[in-house]
Amino acid sequence: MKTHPYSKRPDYALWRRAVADVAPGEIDPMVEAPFRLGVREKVATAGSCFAQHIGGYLKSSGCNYLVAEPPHAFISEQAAQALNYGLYTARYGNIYTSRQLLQLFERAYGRFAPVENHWREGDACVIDPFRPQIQPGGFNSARELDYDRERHFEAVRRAFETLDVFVFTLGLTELWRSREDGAAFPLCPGVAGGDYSPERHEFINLGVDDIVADMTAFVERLRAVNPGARVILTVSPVPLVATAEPRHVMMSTMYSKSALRVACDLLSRSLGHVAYFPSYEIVAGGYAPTDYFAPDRRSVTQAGVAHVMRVFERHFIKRNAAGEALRGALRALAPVRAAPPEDPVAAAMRLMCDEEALSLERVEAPSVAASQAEAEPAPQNESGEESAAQEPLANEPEREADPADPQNHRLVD
Amino acid sequence: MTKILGLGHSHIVAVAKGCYELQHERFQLGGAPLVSRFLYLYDPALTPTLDEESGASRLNPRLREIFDDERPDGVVLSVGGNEHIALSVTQPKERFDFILGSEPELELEPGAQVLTEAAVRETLREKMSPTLATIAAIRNETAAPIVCLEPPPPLPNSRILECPQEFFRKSFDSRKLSGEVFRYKMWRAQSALYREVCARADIFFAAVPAEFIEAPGVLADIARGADASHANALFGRRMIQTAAALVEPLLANGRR
Repeated sequence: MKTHPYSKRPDYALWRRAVADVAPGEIDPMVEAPFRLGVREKVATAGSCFAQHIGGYLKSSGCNYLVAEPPHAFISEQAAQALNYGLYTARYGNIYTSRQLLQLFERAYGRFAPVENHWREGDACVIDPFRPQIQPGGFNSARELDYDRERHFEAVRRAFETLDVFVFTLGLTELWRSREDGAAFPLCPGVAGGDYSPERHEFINLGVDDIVADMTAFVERLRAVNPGARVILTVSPVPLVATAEPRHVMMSTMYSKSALRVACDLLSRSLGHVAYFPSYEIVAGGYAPTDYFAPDRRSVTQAGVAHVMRVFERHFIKRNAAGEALRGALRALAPVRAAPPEDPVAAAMRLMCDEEALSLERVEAPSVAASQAEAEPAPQNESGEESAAQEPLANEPEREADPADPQNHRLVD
Repeated sequence: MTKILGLGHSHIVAVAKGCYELQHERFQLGGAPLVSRFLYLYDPALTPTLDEESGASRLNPRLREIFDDERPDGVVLSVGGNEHIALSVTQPKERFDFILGSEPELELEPGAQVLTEAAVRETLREKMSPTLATIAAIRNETAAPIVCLEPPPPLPNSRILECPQEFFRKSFDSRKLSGEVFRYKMWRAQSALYREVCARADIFFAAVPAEFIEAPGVLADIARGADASHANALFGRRMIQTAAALVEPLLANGRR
């Protein structure tokens, strides 16, 4: 029997054994990850909306998910969620393109300050052009935005300098930028703030070379401030919601995802500390026996996300007994922290009201008789309510008093 | 007679006192003498204020009965109102401040982390959710005009230092006490939420008259109650007069 380069290929290299004969939900396009995450290694995430699933998984699975921009202790959990804290490692919102990611780094380190830095919406609302949906309702002034942004950049620097692994989900190639200085916007001006102007804004669609150049520059900069940093790249399977190219959105989606996928391949082959994880292939490859898209043909179903995360866990999470024990402890602690036994504000309210409730008993209300004697004749309306008005009203405060006084929308592509 | 029903928590006491003073003076509303009844919402007979079994959108059945029985011509509310104090009287370990959008020139505490007003507002909103839900539920219970009275602004820190037991069960570190300007901003942020629910629910909002706010944003001396968080009968009287002025045109036009 003749031999040839395919005759001794492993199962994963052969379609029938790797795809056709594999049970639904078990297709695993990942062969071997170049590195794994230990339980103590800090993992940061960023990217387009699909990256939120990855961050959510890392948090819930007991990984050491890096939160570099936590809400201040004053901010309630519900408010923090509404204001998009915890969505990613820092409060940068969705980062759809390689250009945005590189730009974030440059801005955080003071190497680039876009000219179009604030979008004013009326007198009392300022939108951050680079995080247009981070704060529902916007900021109350440019000054407030500047304070928040300064703190955000501190957090971004802290994240880049302390993370062990950075998971970045590439989503789009199409973007709008300033003609003046090239500043890349996550959303076209006018969509969630700002005003679109063809004189000031232009559309570009990144090519493979652009993406590779952006990401190479980013990784170089990241490793300059954090030499041990490793990067996991993945491509979001979520299609474009709209295209600015003069063609069908499905064709633009195919181009964008293809360009991103090729760029990831080039990057992971050329940079030893960069790995690729096949989210796109699992969900949108079209080969899974199960349809992982919801009826809108954009949203990924829970089953699809679960499949992706199973594969991620299998290949990227380092497993050993000690690590599992620590992860288990972290998972177990999470709900305890989220449910304080008593709301301190409610307790404080009750405490403050105690004495005042007592004083209500000492208030002397005018007697009904006195009121009636002193009152002018009351006009009677058509429904005869005058008689009802004679009912005693002010004679019962003592009886009613008692001394025993005890909230996005989330960011989406 | 023109009947008003007052409902609220601790601040309703000063309002009741002021209202009774006016009644003694034969105060007229809608062309008729004013009569009133005030209910304290922490009264065990009236709690829980919201009927939790019906999804927290309806009032306690006893309160509903009272509305049915009284059929008031107008309603004044002083529901909650101390949330801003509870959240601002002292600072957490990492002090914070914020820019008040309506008065951006107000000073920021040096060294404090500057939060966004939205972060403060949304946190307050969560803490005030029972208060805001109660106001909305009262609106659902009656077609009568309703006036929500703005709670008094914070009292000065000197009062807190005189009456720390009002806020703290144990001794407290006075260095953690918040600045008065900061506490004023928190009060304003709270009032914005009252205004919001009032606008949504067709409820009048009676603002604290300017003469009762003195620099740097505390309750004026003449309007202070006996403790560190409440106002006096003069304040209550003036708030009733403000509320009366708001509903007078409706009552005069027969909306009772």
